[in-house]
Amino acid sequence: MKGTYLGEFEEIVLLAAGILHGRAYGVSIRQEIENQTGRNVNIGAVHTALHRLEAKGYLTSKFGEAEEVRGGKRKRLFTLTSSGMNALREAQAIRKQMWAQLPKILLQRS
Amino acid sequence: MKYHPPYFATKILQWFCHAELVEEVEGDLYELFRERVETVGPFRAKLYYWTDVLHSINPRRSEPRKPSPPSLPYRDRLSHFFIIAFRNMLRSKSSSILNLSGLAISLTGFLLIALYLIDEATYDSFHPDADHVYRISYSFKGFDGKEGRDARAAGLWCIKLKESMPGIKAVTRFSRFGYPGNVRTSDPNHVFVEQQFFWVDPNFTDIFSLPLITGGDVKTILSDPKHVIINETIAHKYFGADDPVGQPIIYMRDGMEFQLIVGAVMKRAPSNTHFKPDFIASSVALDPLWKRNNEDRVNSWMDSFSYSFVTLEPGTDPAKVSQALQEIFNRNLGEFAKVMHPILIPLRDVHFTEGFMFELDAPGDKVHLYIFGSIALLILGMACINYMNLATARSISRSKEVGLRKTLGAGRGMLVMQFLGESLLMTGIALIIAITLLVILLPYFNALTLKDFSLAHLLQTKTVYLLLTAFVTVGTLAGCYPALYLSSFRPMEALKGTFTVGRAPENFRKALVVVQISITLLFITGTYVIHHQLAFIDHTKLSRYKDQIVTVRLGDAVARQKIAGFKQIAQQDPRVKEISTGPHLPRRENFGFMGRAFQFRELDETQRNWDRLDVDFDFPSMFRLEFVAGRNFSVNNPSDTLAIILNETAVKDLGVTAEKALGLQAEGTYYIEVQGIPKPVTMKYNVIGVVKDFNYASVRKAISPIAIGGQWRSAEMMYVMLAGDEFPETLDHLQNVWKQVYPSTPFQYWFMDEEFGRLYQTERQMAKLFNYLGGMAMIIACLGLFGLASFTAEQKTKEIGIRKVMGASTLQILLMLTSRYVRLALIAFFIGIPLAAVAVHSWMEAFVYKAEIGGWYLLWACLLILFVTVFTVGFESLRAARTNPSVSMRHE
Repeated sequence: MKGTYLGEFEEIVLLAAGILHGRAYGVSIRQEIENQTGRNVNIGAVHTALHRLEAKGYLTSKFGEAEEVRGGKRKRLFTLTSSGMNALREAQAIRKQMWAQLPKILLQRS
Repeated sequence: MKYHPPYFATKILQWFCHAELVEEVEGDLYELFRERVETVGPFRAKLYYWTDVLHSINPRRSEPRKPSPPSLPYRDRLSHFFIIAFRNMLRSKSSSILNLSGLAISLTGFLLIALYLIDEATYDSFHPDADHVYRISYSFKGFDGKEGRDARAAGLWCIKLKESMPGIKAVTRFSRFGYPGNVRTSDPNHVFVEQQFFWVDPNFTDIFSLPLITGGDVKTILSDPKHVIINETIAHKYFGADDPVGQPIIYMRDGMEFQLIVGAVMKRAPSNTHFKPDFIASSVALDPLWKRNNEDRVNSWMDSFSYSFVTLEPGTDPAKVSQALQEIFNRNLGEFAKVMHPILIPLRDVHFTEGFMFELDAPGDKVHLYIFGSIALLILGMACINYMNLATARSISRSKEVGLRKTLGAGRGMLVMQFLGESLLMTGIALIIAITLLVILLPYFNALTLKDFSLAHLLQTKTVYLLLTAFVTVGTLAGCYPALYLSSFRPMEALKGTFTVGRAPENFRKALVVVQISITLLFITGTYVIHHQLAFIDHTKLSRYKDQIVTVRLGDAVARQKIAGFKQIAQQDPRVKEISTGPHLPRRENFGFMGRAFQFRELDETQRNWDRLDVDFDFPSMFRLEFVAGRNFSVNNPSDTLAIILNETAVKDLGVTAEKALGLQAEGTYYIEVQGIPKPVTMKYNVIGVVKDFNYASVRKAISPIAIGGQWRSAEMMYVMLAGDEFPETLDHLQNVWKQVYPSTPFQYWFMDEEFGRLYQTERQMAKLFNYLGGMAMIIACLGLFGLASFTAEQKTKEIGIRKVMGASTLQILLMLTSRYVRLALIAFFIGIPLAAVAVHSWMEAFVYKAEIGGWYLLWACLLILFVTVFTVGFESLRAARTNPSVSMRHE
């Protein structure tokens, strides 16, 4: 495993998968990210991130129903695991902690 | 739905995306595509689809998520594997048999040699703490400044060492006093000569292991100096089926009788120990003798009487112990401490040390061990080569199977496992055959190597590990190339039958055959040269009549006095041709020391350390010594007891001509030990003759300068030359005369060629082993050639048919088929001849006197191999060449 470090994009994908609880799969996650951040995200990148996160144990997956709209292919539905949740919390905590230490002068400037 | 994603892009995705991911990815892409058709139009949707596909097939992104579940239950796949493997073996019976027999033969050879090597490498390791035990030996300077080495040590050294130095766990000593001893039971008519009678310190078991059969504690038994411990064999020899414990054993020496009682029976010593006691008695029992002679040889400062051993505490530096011993020398040995230095030899290395006098066994030779080890590996390698050869050669017949398996979804890894498994299976069967063969051959092997291996050796953990290692290594080594090669077939070609065997495996096979033939060449030349050298040794001067000369051991000094009487009575029988006495010849290192100091004051003041042979007047004529100058000893000249005859090397050492050497006077000095202090005694001798050099010791050593003296009283052996061929009767006669003259000394004799057999034991063993191993290599190489030739013939059936139809004769086809192997053999000679020449040369280095071998033997070996190659290949080719073309062409 490549360690438990959570990259920025991975964090976003993980959050999106959490938001779309029960409905999270490649296309919907990409859409969610696009909606939330306005970034144009490549679907291949999303897939890679999803599989990597699953390998790290932050996501689990199962096949959903086959749909006509998908050309008769099943979708893989991802669910956030508790360790995924922990990783998110930790990432947030680190941010908070570091934010709190930024000098006031920087904060006032903008 | 009007628009579809680009067909080709989807295909690419299906081909290159990981099988497990393809469904979801395809679905996602499809969904996105539809969405994009709505939002950005079909053209750009297709464009995006393409880029997404290209992103998704990036191999790094397509790593599998989980291992795929096995397609068939494991058990089914396993049984399927065995079925297929056995079917394949049965389908190609001939190549399976060739493979099996090759592997089995080589594994047998390998295992036998491995047993031998393990035994040699574990010498003396069964004693507890063996890694921390050292033998105390020492080096000294002779009168001429040359260094000598004695395996033994004076008794007080190690005792003092233990007292004066921390870090010494235990010390113990033992001696072979009186070697060889005359031993009997209460019946005075049953006297045996025993060579393995050891006198030990009662704390013997502090260092050495001594398992008793009869139970009891060795220390308590040995604390009574009346006790002797004997081994099973001796118990049987002396007392038959009776209970040996409590029976009397009498040791006779110097007119004294030591009355002992059997205290216990010990196990026979294993073959891998450098001393194998038959009797063990407490050295305290010798005290009466010391009292009588007023000298204690066990506890002395100068008398190197016992073999001394020390166990060091872990962490004690042996170099420090040597220093401490040197200190002890300095304090207690006076003048001698300057020229005497202690040498510590680790117990496990004792077997391999050379150059020490009074060693307890013939030293092992590590070089020979390496030679044997590499031979075993070479033979094993040859069998692996056979397997590789035949397996790749048969690849065509299996290409369809590979194709089919791949079509049905078998991965390369699975195929590799299958073929490796097959070679492991083959090796396994061969191993079982090899073990069976081993059990059958073990007695003969024991007779050859003088070891006593049994089935129990095979079941030791060490050997079992070895078996497993051999199994896995050979299986993998033999199987890896075929496995990699066979599994690389492309299914399409293999199934269509357009598949052709490429040049690479063909060349690989050729290379393997070349290697095999080179190795065989090496073995054959090796065998030849060893035999040649042995024949040369057999013809060295001393041993020309070796099979007619009986050596009789003259026990103690008493026996020597009556030798004239014995001669007179014995020689009344015409079958007894000549009788002479002399030192124990041929000389082996462990017989001890013949060196004496000589000084020729008429020439210079140098002290010369020459070997001195004390013989009687008949010795030179009996051994047919050739005189270069001067005369033999003569009974008419009573002063000849103080005459000496030199050999040519001695004269050369003096730097004069043989004629000039005559009449020179030599002063010989020797030391008589009186109460532990050596006193020099000087004698004057006249040189009366010079003889040609003769080999009185191993031809491994250069002949040293010798002086033959007429002092028959110190002779060790009697030599009797027999005439005619009624040897058993003549021996009976000798024995009867012996009984009359020496009623209390056993008649111990052997023919001189037996002694030579012992002297050249390693060479003889080596020659015999080489015979067998060379034969083995030859058989394996032939098997390989035979298999390949028959395969080639089968491959070329059609070609042969066409050639015959076009008018080729049987002979031409035979030539065509055999010439390629002849060419390979020639290449092999090109590689093998230099190798063989170098190997032979380095082996011969060990001998000072070498047989002339020239270079012709290489030619003969090559011709032999060529002949066997042509014969093996030709036999199989002839069959192919003589087939009726209509039969061979009917394939179509």
